[in-house]
This record gives sequence, structure tokens and C-alpha cells, in this order.
Amino acid sequence: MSTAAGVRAGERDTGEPALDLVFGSGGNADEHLWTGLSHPEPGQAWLVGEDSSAVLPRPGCPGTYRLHLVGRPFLHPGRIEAQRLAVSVNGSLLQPAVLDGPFSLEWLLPWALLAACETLRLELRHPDAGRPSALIGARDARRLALALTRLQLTRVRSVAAVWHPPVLAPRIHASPASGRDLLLRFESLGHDCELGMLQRAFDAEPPGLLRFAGTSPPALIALLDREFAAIGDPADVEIARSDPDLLVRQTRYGFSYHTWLREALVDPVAVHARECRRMRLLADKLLRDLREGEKLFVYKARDAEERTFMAALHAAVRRYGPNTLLWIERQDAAHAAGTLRVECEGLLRGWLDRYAPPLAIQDASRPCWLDLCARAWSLARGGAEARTKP
Amino acid sequence: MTDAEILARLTDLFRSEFADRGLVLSPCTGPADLAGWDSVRMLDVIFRIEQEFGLAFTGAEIDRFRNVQDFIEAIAARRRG
Repeated sequence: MSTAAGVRAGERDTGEPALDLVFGSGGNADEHLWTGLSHPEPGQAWLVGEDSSAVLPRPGCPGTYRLHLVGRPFLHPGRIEAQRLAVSVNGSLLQPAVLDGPFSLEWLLPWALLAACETLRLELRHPDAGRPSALIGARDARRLALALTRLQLTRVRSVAAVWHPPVLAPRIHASPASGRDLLLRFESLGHDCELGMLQRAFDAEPPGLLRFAGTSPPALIALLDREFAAIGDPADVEIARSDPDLLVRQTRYGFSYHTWLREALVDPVAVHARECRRMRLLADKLLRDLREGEKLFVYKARDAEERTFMAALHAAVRRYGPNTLLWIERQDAAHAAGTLRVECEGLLRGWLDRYAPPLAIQDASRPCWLDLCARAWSLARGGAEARTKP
Repeated sequence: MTDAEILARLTDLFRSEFADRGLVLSPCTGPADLAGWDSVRMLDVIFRIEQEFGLAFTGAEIDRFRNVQDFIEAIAARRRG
């Protein structure tokens, strides 16, 4: 039985649910406005397709509420081992879940979340729906995701002292606004600018020393171990021609990044002075981030061989504080796209379905990145148990 | 300190930083509105604000700054806190 984090021991319900939906024949769930909810069956009703939603009445009495959802996922051995579920209430994502059997999920909803709207807008994202007709030759051609049996909303008391917001990250397949919020929590350490460009696509523009840099683990480890010493020393900074823009090379540590400036339009001497100063400022900023321990640091490995540096890079970022390193690799035979694994405290490994092509670095796999980032943030900051998607 | 007072001090700071005595700031002013306000200058401005107001922003706050209103809100929040 799967349960969700967000509910803590010691909380008690105040009594009868403020909202109690029973799904299936004879139930009352379809008295409300739903999309993506199939017709009632004995004891249950299926959520179909990749998205569903409901408009439900908001409880009248202010307070913290427990949202309780009961059901089972549509599974097919070898093809659909689990269903991912991301639930949003009034636009805010609750802790996502990966469901591989009957579930009883609970989340706490602060009143501030409920009070924001006249109604309770529930959105569910279940991207792993499958058709029985395609999988087992059954006649049912619906894209089944989750069979729901019960949804309850109950006010809880004595929660103020232990309340921690369950809202951890924007919904998966985020809107531009929520994608920005999510991606601002991540700091790229390289090896290239794929994450930096993805941030740009969502209007997230964090000033990052390595956001558009070409790096390697040895260079990063040296940078971190020496706390970026003398990073802006003019003797160690070269401006090099590249296509289509000028490239900055930091020769002491061995990394480079784009200036996005065309040689014909700028004065290389002025660019050199600017970049030396820029390096110092951005190094100060990165040191601040490392010491605060609020962001997740991301390294996208070139290949499997770089994995030998993973532990050393993890140790280097942890030297500054309780930081988390998200080590990204490309999917392989043993790790399907979307897999996210906790290696040890402060070290996550995630697998993308593909990398952006080097000559079209802006062509990142957005759904997979956002999904990994949302779950990585949830794991790193939500205190949730490690989850691995098959 | 009111938002208007913060804006007045920010205006002085920006006039000095951008060497423009006639510069007029509004809460909506952002990098697109001021010649030379690029990513490097943004960090210069942020670090000068920290000195001017005697505070230190977190890295996460710095990442979210997009215009003068963001500075005003962050400064006011620190003053309240």
C-alpha cells in the first residue's frame, strides 16, 4: 500500500469529512464536475488519459485539511510497472507519488492554499496511462491510469505545531511560471549548458558561474577544493574565437564558457576585463549558494566513465554544507529514462531519456528534465523516502 | 522605511552605478529598460544594495531578482524581519 508524505503523526481528524466522494456505481463522485473520469463501475471509476481534473466545493470552515485518496493503479507486468501521479490543488503541486499497487494517499492542505479560490480545483497528472486493448488484447480501448474508490477532505486539528508545507515543487510538465520556480532551485555545474538553456526556456535566469560552461569533474573538484581562489586573475583568463561567439577560457582550472558576443561587434580587451570581473562576482555568488545549501547542484555526465568522479564531486560540494548533488546520466539498459535513485545522503542519480544534441543544445528533453527535477527536489527537500521508478 | 523611501535610495544608488544623474526609476524598471544593465551589472547592483542597506541576500533571492520592485520587496522584508 502506497502512502504519501506530508501527514505527520499526532494529527487528529476533527470528525466527519467535509467532503466525502465515493466512486463507482451508486457513488456520488460524478455529482461534481470532472474531466478525465470514466463512467462508474462497481466499486470504482477510472481516471483515463494523462490528465484529469475536478472542481469541488471548498470547505467552509477555515483550517488545515487532510486530502485522502484511495484507489489502485492500472498495471501490466513488463509494460507498466507503476503509475506516476502528481496532484495539484489550486495550482500548487503536492508531493508526487509513484504507485505500484493499491494506494491510500494523504496530503495536508494548509488553509492558505484552500482560501485562495472559491472552489477547490484538483488537477491530476498520470502520464503512464495504458490501453488494455493494446496491452492484453482486451476490448477496453480506454487509456486507464488509476481506479479511484474514495476521496475525502477532512479538517485536522493540533497541526500548527508540526505543520510543514507539502507543496514542494510545481507540477510535472510545468507551466512556464511554475517551471521557472522549479528550475531556479537548481544550479548547473556542467558539463555543458543544457540545463542552463532549459532554465532560459522557462524564463529562469539565475546568474551562474558554470551555467553556460564546459566543465569536467577534475576541473570542478579543483575549483571547489580551492574555493575558486584567484578565479578572476587576468593572467588565467583568455578570450578565444569560437563560432558563433567569443569563448572565455579559464586556464588555471580548465573550464570555458560562451560570452554570447560576436567578435566583430566588441572590443576583445574590454571583454577580457569584463569577464575577469564577471568570474569573480559569479564565483562569490556560487560560494554563497554552496554555503547556504538551499539549491541542488547538477552535473550532467558526459559518459559512463565519468562516474568514477561522482563520489569525489559529491564530497567536494558537501565540503561547504549539506548540499545535494544531482548526477545526471543518459538512460541505458539497466536504467530507464526517469529513474531517480538515492546513492547516499546528498547524492542523487537521475537518468534522462536523451541529451540535447551538441549543436542544438536548447533542444533538451523538457518533460524528462522537469520530471527528474521535481522529484529530485521532493526527495532532497521533502524528506521523503527514496523512490525509484522502474 | 516605506517603499517610497527605499525607491528613493535605490534611485540614488542606480544613478551612481550607471553614472546618470537624471535617471528615474520605477518599480517596474528592469534590465531591458536601462542600457548597460546586463548580468554582470546586475550582480554589481545587488552587492551595492547589500552594502547600502546593510543586509545580505540569499543566493535564492538573487536568482529571483528581475526588477526594482523585487529589490524593494526583498529590502522591505528584511527590514520587517
